[in-house]
Amino acid sequence: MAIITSLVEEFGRGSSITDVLRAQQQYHEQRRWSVNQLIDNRCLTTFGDRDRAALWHSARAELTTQPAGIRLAVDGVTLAQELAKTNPLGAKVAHAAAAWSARFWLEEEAHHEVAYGQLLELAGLDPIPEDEVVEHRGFFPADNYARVCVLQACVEIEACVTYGEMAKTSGDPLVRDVFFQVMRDEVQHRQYFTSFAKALVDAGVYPVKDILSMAYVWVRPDSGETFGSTRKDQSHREGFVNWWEQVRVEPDDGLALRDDQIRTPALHERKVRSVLAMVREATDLEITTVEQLKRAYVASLTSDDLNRIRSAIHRGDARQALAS
Amino acid sequence: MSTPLRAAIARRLGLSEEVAFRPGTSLAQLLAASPSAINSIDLLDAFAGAVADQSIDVDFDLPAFTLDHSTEEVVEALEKMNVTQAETH
Repeated sequence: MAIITSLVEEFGRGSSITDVLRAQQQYHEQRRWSVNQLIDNRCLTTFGDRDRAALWHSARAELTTQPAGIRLAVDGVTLAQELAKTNPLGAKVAHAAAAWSARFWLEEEAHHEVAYGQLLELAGLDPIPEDEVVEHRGFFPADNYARVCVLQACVEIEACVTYGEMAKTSGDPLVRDVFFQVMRDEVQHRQYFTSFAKALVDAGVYPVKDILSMAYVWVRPDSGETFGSTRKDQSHREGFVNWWEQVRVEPDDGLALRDDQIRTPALHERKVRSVLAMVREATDLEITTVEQLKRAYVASLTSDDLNRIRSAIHRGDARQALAS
Repeated sequence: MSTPLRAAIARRLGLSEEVAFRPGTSLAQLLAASPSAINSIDLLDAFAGAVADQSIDVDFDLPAFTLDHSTEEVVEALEKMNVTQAETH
């Protein structure tokens, strides 16, 4: 059992929405785990400041998934209704994405929120104050659905890399187990979001530029979203929280995430590589560098023809080779 | 002053040049005025797309901005970049 990576092909083979939702259910059941079984009767033994900082951030970051899930569930059904007559294939894709967000993404992310929240308290930190919980539940802003899917794929990648690092490097067995278990879920979520973005483009609901733009905005040098709170200029936001913009990094802050937890060159490279792989899966464009992603994005602003976009990437590569 | 770049930006945002380039307009205000743009990615699409409309070359640096920047600041950066590019090619 695996995630259906090409929904348009799947529907083309005659599968119905019900078939796809059953496949989602089966995959979900196959991978379920219990927060209580994982944590109960265990305690933290060899944890330190690094673990506390990671738990402080992860517990808060996971709170913001619920508003995003609600947005994707509601907007997915709205989109499906809008497309029902003009693009029935696109409508099926939107139904599949809305159902997965409402049923499985929200449920699985609730596990992460509760697991990190419990661990946070086991580590001796205060529970997240109620006003902060409420602040993190602010409505996720509306956007075009393909871009939101790509954004969420990028956020999942960010989580995969940082949680994966904690799963490998924490000195405490329970911290390692929880980060590892959550990371395994986030890998699957990244795959689902990529498949929805791809299917919305394949079905002609959105142009490929919407995948390229969001991915580029995530990884663009210096000012990309992946640089989060370390960016020189930050946009003022009200009503919702982008957790990556609120990462504590001041050296004298005991709860700050250290570079080796989130921002070393090696971790950054891993995140970028994963975002570029996601773009390749979603677009069938052979993009292996951020520079190529930028060229593809700019080319996609004047043409939706994949061959013209490929030519623009290759022309840039040739120019770069000549210049070096 | 109307230029092909400014005209293309306004067109991509569904605005008249007069509204898009009213002195002192911030990008947040530009976003609110546009009937088609949802967020800052649409602004980037409009700015980068307008430069791409003027050129066959897609190798240019896209300026970074926040919604607090003024429209004028971004357009000046793009115009400067366009001039540099025209001189280089």
